[in-house]
Amino acid sequence: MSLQLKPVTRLQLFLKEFIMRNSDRSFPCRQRRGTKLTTRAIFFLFTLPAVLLYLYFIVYPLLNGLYYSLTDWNGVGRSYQFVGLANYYKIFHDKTSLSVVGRTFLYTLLLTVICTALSVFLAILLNREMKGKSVFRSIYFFPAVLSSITIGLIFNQIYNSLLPQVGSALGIGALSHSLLSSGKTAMWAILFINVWQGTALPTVIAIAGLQAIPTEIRESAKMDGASAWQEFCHVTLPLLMPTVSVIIILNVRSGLMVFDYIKATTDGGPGFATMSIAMEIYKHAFTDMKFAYSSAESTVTFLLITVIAIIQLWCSRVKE
Amino acid sequence: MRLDLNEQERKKKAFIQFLCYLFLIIGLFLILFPMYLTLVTALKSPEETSRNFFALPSSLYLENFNQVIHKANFFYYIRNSLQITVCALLGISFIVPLISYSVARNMDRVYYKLIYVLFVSGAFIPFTILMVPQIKLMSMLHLMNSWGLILLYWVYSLSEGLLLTVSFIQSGIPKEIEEAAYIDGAGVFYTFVRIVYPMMKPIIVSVMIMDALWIWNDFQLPLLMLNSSQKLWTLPLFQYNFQSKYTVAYNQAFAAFLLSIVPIMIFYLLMQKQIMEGLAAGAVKG
Amino acid sequence: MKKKLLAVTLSAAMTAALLAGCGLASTGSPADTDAEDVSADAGAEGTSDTKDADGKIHLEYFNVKSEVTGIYDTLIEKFEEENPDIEIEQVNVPDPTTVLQTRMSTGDMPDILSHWATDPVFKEMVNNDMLVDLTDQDFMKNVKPDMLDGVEYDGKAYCLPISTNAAGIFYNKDIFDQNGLEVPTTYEELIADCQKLKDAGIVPFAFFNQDSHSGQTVELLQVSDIPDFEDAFAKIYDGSAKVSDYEGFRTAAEKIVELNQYAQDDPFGTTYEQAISDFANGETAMIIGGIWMIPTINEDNPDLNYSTCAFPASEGMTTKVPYQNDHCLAISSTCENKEAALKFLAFMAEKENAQYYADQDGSPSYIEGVENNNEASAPLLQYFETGEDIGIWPDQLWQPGMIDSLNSYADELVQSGDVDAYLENIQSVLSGQ
Repeated sequence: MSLQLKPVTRLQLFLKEFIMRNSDRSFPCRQRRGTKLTTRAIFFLFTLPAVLLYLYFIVYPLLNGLYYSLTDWNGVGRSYQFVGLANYYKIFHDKTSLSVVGRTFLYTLLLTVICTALSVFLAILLNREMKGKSVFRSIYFFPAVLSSITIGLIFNQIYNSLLPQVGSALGIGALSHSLLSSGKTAMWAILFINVWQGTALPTVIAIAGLQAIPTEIRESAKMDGASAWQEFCHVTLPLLMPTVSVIIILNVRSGLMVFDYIKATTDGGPGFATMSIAMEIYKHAFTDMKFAYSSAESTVTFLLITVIAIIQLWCSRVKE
Repeated sequence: MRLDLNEQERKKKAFIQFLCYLFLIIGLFLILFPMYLTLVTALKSPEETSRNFFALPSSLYLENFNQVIHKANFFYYIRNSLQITVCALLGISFIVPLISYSVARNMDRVYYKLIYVLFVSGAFIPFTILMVPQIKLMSMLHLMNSWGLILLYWVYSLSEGLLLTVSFIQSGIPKEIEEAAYIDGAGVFYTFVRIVYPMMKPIIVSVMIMDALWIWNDFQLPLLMLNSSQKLWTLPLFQYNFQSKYTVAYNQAFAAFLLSIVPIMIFYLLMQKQIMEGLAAGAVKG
Repeated sequence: MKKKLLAVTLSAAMTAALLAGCGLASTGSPADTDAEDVSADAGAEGTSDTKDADGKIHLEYFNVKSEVTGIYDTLIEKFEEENPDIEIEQVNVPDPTTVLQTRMSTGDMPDILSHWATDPVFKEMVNNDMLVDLTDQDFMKNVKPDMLDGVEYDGKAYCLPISTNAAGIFYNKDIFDQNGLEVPTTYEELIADCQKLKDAGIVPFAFFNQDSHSGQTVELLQVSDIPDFEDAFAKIYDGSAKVSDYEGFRTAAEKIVELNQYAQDDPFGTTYEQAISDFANGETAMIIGGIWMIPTINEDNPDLNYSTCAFPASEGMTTKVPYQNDHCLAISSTCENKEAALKFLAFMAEKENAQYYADQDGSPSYIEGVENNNEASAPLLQYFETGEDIGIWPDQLWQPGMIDSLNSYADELVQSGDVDAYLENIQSVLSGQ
């Protein structure tokens, strides 16, 4: 494939001459092109905008946050003091903080289990030969493109206005009140919203994963007399594991960092019943004037997520 | 005997097929029902809704939309969202390919490998840990406005963007073409602009679609950066704030929800396949 | 075909955005204009006000009191007529206190803001030099001297106080008459009245627990239940006393649980606006709150026959009426147009305008010569005439940021009924841990 290239400017002509004069005369195909200096310089320049942005807006705040977590700054005041690990100590000894963490973990566990199982199941169904397959898939995927805050707000209205009407009309006592106004049911109600929207993307991923399994393997299992269930357990599922682990990671991350749905509905209430880790960090930083404390909470959360990710990676390596 | 067995099998298969359809349709109902409610409530007057929440509207009551569009100035916020999304995407389509080309073609050098690892691992950093010091930084720089938000979107798009584009370049763009260009005397810049960038179009489009959806729908960052003034609100912020004002008159709130879903729906219907593939690929690679 | 469509759509969108993009800079908030020399020198005179492209000075007024939005719309219009070169934009956002605190912590303060002069967050602003010192301004002479020192810090005034409030119970006179009830003078009488109402099938109280009514009511109870609460909070914070040393914390907690038994259906699903609307429309007999609710009640139902009474203490204890500075105006030290902002404050301190505010709002004014013509608030305001048996709202004595957690714990208390857990929780918050 030959390309017609025309040096566009005199500068480029000049550069071409300069390059040819200063570089190795022998031009094997695989050698690095042009003068090492000019090429490397340009490659380096290409990286500059992104690297500068990243260093200044991500790495620097990250380190800043770590620093502040060792102080007692309330976020507004002029002065603050260095307190070492006092904030971290507080986190592990504060009953409310610990219950928030526990609640978020439980929420994440439930979300992951339900979404993963549901999405794999739906993927199997949607992968079968049937009429209207693409219509079904389109509709099942649709929730993923909507804004989480819109979905949260819609469900907020449904829970607050619609369901109580239905409940009292049908005489179901438990439903006559808004599900979001009782500490016992609020988190479950929010979990439902999260599952509603959170199953869409994993389902599509699972479908892709299923389609990647060559049908011959499944056919041969059937030939060997395996029942559908056996075939699923011993053939499909193991081959689907990489996809499933991706889905699990997605769900774990979105569960641990759940914020939008809570903000749209209960804002952490009633009391602390729907307070998640992310909500608490936000409140401490911007409402409760506990800036340094929330920085410490953020750091701990970061370490937690990193540990979980490492465990996840290690598990999937072992499985392979 | 054999005929009987076949019939049994066929019946069993038909039954399973029926069950599958049933399950899928129940799921369909669960998904579409909130959307149906949104549509129906937006088109009803408050009195009609209190009479019967579920029924179809008796006539197209457009007053809710009128209130949302004119009184609450809905299209103003669409414009805000659009400006921010487009500016962010333009920046991303410039910065990400630039750096990913460098990194992809220089992975044997320490500096570039370092960048790659640093950027990609950034995807693991939860927003909550960055949010507090980042907001402080932005306020110190007087960037608590739309441009600051756009800047942050550029920064946040780097992790996943780099991951996807680098793997695309490494697997999808053969080095030979570039080599040929270099032999003909073209410089790196020229090669990039005229040859590589055009070949990167598919992945750039993918990344842009993913990022477009994320930025358009994003709530947390605008909440922190733009909540100070009504003039700056994006669509998600507007919905959040609007709904608080109208907890009692929720028909208008639903009208607002409906109006904000429409652009996404159009986008989805047009670009369905690309969106599905793009998001799935992004998630898998990440 | 689809790709082409995408390309066309994107380019159209881009063009539209770019064309309108020039408008991006001018739609930004005042804070993002290049503020080079922000004068932190409070009260600096001779600062030239920066004028915008249309020759007018633009000010932002951040309003935290949603009930008075309409009042300000009228007053601002009048001010702009008298001062054609100044334009004021009133900003009302949901959850204004949170937004303001976020703006405080990001250094993005509004030009003019309203607040509560004794609030811990206000104190924080004063301590960090975020507000302009108004002590020497001419218009401060309009403020009643004996009320002024209640809102001063170290002898300096950082705000123009507008009105004060009082809290108690609003009751529906018609419902009370129809059921032969008299205004309760002890807590026990109040509960007896509630029971009578409940038996008659009338909902006694409207609680708006979704909007921290539990926390607010607990504070109101504490004012009467803890005789020396003003010291109590300070002592608990510095560690010389504990919550368990004061019986009043427990009784207040028990009372709020009891009161909620006389609430409407689903109080946690009821918002502030909804609850007031319920009371105004006669669906409940009473609502616990302060005279700040008056404008909203009158808006919802101008014909309502209602009055107020103090929240009665238990038998044998003294009933006290809690009060606080309900509304004040302050100027942020980062405001670029201080002269114009001071003009607006001077305008608000004029007797005529303060009278208008007081008439609409119903609260006693700080401004000399302004009369309070509101009948409904009279029973509560009696207490101010003698100055006896009033106490400042407890949350004014707390540290900034405590109120949110304490409100959440109060919500938990009402949901679970667990008084002991509640007391433990507030101990750790109030002691600063």
